[in-house]
Amino acid sequence: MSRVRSEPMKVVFINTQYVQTDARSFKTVVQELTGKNAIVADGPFEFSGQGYGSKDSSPREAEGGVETTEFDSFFREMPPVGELYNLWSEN
Amino acid sequence: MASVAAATTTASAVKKEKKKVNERVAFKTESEVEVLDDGFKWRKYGKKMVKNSPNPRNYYKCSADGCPVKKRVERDRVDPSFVITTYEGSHNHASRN
Repeated sequence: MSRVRSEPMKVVFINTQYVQTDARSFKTVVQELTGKNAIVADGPFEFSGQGYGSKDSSPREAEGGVETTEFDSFFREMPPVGELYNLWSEN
Repeated sequence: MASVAAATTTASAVKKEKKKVNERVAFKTESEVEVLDDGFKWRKYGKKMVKNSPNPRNYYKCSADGCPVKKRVERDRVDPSFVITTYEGSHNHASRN
């Protein structure tokens, strides 16, 4: 890109939120996050109700001794969902 | 007059940076089937071979009129018992069920 652009520069940020669920709760969680009244929005949001994915084992237990991937390390580094929501609502 | 013209030229020469943020949600689910029922109807619009993986990635768009949601589905390269579904956008209509 050594030539000078005549149009304004466009910068695209891709934010991916990683979620681990099982096949049973998949539909519910997907609709919570991408449905018409989606919780995921641009800014801080209010959350009422229990955390999703909590009725099953935590992400750590569900791994099953699989080889480490970038995806898996996201889950390990991610704080528990309840804590995430607390952090968000503090702002 | 001359100073006004000079000011206009300077303004148009300034480059504006446009920033766009894509919000995506990725699900990793243990499943034998690749396409999991999420309560919506989808239309496949693309398929791509992914680097370092024998599994293809399929691209879907929500078939509801005017709904912008897209998703991509592929098997996890490392653990093929898992399927990774990545959604982009929010639906502007109710789900089927």
